[in-house]
Amino acid sequence: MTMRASASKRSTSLQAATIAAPSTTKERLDSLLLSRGLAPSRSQATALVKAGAVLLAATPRRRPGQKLHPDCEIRVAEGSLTRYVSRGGEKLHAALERWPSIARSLAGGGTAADFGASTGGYTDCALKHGARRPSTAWTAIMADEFDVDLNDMKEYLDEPDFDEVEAPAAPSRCASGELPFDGGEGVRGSDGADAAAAFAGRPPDILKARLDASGFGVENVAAAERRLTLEQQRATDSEPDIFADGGELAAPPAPATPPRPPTPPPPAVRGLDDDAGPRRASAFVKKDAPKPSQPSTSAAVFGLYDRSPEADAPTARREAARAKAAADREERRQAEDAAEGSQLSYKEFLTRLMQPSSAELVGHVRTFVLQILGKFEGLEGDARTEALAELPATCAQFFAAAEAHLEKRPEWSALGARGLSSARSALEKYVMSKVGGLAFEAVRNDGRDAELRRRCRALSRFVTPGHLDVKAHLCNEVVLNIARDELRRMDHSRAPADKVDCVVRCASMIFSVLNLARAENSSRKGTSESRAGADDFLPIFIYVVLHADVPRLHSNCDYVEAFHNPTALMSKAGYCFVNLRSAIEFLLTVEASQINMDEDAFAAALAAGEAAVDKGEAAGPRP
Amino acid sequence: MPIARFKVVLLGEGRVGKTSILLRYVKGERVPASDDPPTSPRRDAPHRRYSDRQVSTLQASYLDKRLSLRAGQSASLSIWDTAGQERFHALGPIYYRDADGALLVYDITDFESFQKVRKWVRELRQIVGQEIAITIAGNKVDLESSRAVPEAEALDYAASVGATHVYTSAKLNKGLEDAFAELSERMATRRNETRGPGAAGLPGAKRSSISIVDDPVAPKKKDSCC
Repeated sequence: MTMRASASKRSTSLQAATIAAPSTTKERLDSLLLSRGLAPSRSQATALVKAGAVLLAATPRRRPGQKLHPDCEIRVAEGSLTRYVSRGGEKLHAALERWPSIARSLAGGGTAADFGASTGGYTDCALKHGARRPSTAWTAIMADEFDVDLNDMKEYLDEPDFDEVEAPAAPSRCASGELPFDGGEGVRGSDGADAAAAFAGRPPDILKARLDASGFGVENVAAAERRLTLEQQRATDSEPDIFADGGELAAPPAPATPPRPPTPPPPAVRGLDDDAGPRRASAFVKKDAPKPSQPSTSAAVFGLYDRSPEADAPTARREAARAKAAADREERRQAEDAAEGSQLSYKEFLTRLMQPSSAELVGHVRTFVLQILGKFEGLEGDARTEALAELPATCAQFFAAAEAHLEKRPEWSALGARGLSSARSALEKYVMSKVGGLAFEAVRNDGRDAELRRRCRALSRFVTPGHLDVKAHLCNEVVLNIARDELRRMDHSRAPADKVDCVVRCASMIFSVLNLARAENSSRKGTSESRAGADDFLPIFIYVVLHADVPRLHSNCDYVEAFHNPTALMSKAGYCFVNLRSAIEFLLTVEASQINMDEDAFAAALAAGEAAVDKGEAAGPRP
Repeated sequence: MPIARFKVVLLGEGRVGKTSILLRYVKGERVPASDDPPTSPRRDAPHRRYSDRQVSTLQASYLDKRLSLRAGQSASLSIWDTAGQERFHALGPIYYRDADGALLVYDITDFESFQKVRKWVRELRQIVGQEIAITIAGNKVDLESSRAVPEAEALDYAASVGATHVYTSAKLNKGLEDAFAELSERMATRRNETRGPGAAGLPGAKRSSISIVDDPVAPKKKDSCC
């Protein structure tokens, strides 16, 4: 950025801070800027200081908290009077410079939405680049996707009156740090990484599919993706490896993470991080709506409603979107409540693990993992099978012992119950990422996997949503395919908790569809509330599983059951997982009467389906 | 004292009001009585703002609820909704296998739904045994005038199978707090009887027979087994 460059030129001659007259009360630099009218707000003052644009005797001062004499001569470097209402704008500005095609699409009147706007820097920047304000409905959907409170965005919407009766009573939660300005990761450089970080909440291909499928062409998604993948790779590489040196403890990991460019949270950490804090997403750019007759993309485009818009549809939509946004707002609040017990993120866990006080635990973990790996080295045949059969119990014993160890150590037990249980999960994740291959081998059952897959493929040839009493308007294949994508990721994840997480995301997506549709219905009927329960969920979930074609589904479930902390499976995650088990059971045992079919017709269809599947498989792998 | 975690499954035919019960229970008494004329979401928004606090996307089907037991202990219930359609009946055991308690819901205006409860009870006793605490809830007491399940029959039946019988109305928010509180007390008593009060916090231990070794160097010992 220009202002940074100029600032750093000047900073070549560092002066010793000579501050006069200790007799007078000194003031903070940022307060000084504010009181002298050099900055319109405290946050802008801070931003200016951090950007190195505030000069005392021609030297940039970079600490907003620096105490200075109230009469000292400070000045703000020219041209650095912030272009945008906050530093966030500068970041987006940098991103737009880096990816001019996005800037071009904004200048051409593209729509931008800033999810998680706090001071509105992104929005300001986008608008100054020519962007239009997004439609409320569109924003509501996307806000929901990214767990952002719609209330916090109303001033940036085209229909800010979506909630005119209820003025936001509480101060904006975003502004209070819920969606930290810097994504909670400290100040990011202005090198456009933020834009990439905007994609970090979800695997890029899912996001891309989602955006493509929804008609949002995001130019340069591919570029963001490449960058993201690269950084994730780097982040993964930087995971401390206590096995790297074959003996001594690895050095503390803190500097191992590359300080630049800023690293978006790696996907491997997602499960734990999701619980710890909200995802961040901002500045999505949408090209001009393809249909000129319908300038604002309506929620109906997503097929989440069963009717075309009617006279009262905007109101109903707003309410539906609002209900949904409210629901997710609550979920987020709940996640916060849950986080109160100082939950530990995977990263924090690893950092703690690398501290000298954890040496004993690290020793145990190393010994355990190396012994497992060593034991199976070159082990073949029956001996291997036998050893594999013991593996789940061995791991369970180790985790239980490790848990007891954690409870005994003051540095861990001080974390409280939540902290301990998250440490236990993180430990499991760490160990399973090392021995996961063997562990999977222990439960792998190719025969049952193949049987399940054949069965599902055969059934999927003729079982329709109607057979399961799933209402047609709920079967938005775009959304359901996204849910299936989430489920399929199960096979790529390594740690049991990560696999379960895939199921949870899949289930959440389905519940979102159901709740949104019901909210729409109930607001039309005037009933106060309506939410999807298990009666609604299970059929559609079965339908999703049926068509998901998850590789090695059976083994994946067995793996989770064999190696995941049983206590963790008592939770919401466990509920989702048990529903998956249940869906599989249903698909394996389903009879004609259970799907509203005639016995003979069912038998015939199934036989035909199986024959077709076998034929297709003989001919070659399915596309 | 550790928090005792209990898993409770909700069983009952479709449309008897399982989901409403769950939804209403999570909101507790803070929700204005809903025999008020239906309000638009907008008008009751201030209530929603508060009471919706605990409701997540999934939480008409899965719910974590913290409550205090009489003995001063805290209990955490995970309440699992199940699909009530007959076609999913066979999947029941997957959900209730390791449950500590079950709330069997029937609709007092629907005799069939009560028959279904009998079926669940038989199954639960057969598969889970006496381990599981059962509460039978006659829901929709606000529709007393169209009652189809004779009161005496329901009460006698519940007594005969060692279950507690309660009347609830999700609509009027009646009986729910008490039903879950009473069920929790019984679950806690059972667990304390079978395992001693100290083991209350670890539902998983039931299944996996992991012994938590007190010795801090335990992990090293484990090495000998592999």
